[in-house]
Amino acid sequence: MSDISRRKLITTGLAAAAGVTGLGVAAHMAQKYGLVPPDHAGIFGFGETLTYASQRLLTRHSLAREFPRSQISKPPLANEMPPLKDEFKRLQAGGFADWRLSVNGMVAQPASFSLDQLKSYPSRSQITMLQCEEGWSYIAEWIGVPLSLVLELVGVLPQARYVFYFSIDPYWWESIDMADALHPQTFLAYGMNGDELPVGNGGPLRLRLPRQLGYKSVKFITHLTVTDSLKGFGKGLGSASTEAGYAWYAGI
Amino acid sequence: MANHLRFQRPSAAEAWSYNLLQRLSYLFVILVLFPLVIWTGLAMSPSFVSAVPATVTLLGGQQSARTLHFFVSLALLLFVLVHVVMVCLAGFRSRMRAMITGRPGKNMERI
Repeated sequence: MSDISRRKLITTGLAAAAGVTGLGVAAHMAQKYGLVPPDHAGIFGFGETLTYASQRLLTRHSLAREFPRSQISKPPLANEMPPLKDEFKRLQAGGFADWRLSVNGMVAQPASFSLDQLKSYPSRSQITMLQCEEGWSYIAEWIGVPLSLVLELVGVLPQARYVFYFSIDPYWWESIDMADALHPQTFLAYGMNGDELPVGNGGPLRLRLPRQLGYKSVKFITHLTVTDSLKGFGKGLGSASTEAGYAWYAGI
Repeated sequence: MANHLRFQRPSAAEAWSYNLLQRLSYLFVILVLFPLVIWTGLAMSPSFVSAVPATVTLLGGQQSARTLHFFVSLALLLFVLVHVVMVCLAGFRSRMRAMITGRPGKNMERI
């Protein structure tokens, strides 16, 4: 004990107090500026929060890398997925003419769009990489409407903070914050490599979020909900994959 | 070096300083492996590379980054295993005490 002087004790005490205060202030600021992801609890919560907060501060407006046409992967990988339900097969038999995308929640005018309606809006394309957390990746040209255009059409209310998107498969739903929802490369994609979007790659309608891992790019989108809170959707963690232990923010 | 190849462990006095091979491997881990594993890790982040594309383009793409990341992490794992074995051979308790307090035990001469 003789090695620890009073001066050392006081400096250590002050440093510890400053550290705790600093952490408290940081947590308060993070809450205030929306830098806390829904999965901030648990063993990985601190890491998730640090990742999400730093990415939001550093990469809010950055654009995902786009590739030259020559680097498009042939053939584009259609990963394995659970068998499609009868409802999907019925729509597929009708050439997806009855496929609808409904939008509700914190919007001025809830709406429902057919695929033809979506295709009538100015289309955009991007050649970006889809990168799965399993390790595989492929580059493809994605054709669709920016999600921001659809959100503009329905009139998102200013207090909106998140956009939920739901697959026709009830076990697949996700959410993103407004920074990602309004990002110019966030697409509702209906085409790929100059053609219709194949079912294996999520056709007829898939969300594309090139700045995050593949599991956030949900296939077979039928419904969007704009909201200011993640509560009331499942366990309130923001997505089915977060409930299964994946990160909510998958920009990594 | 010759003693190392003959698997002779250093005497108690020598053991309180690092030899050439130890110094080289620590330098390699700190200055090469750790920076490389952080770099290749960031190169696999779709969000980070959107802000700093050179992280991944310099490595020749995300899949190259992934391969490099795998082998660098293996090298780090190997380092950790050898490191722990050496600590055990050199005396687990005295080494742990030295690591935590930053000085050798009371009955040891400082070098």
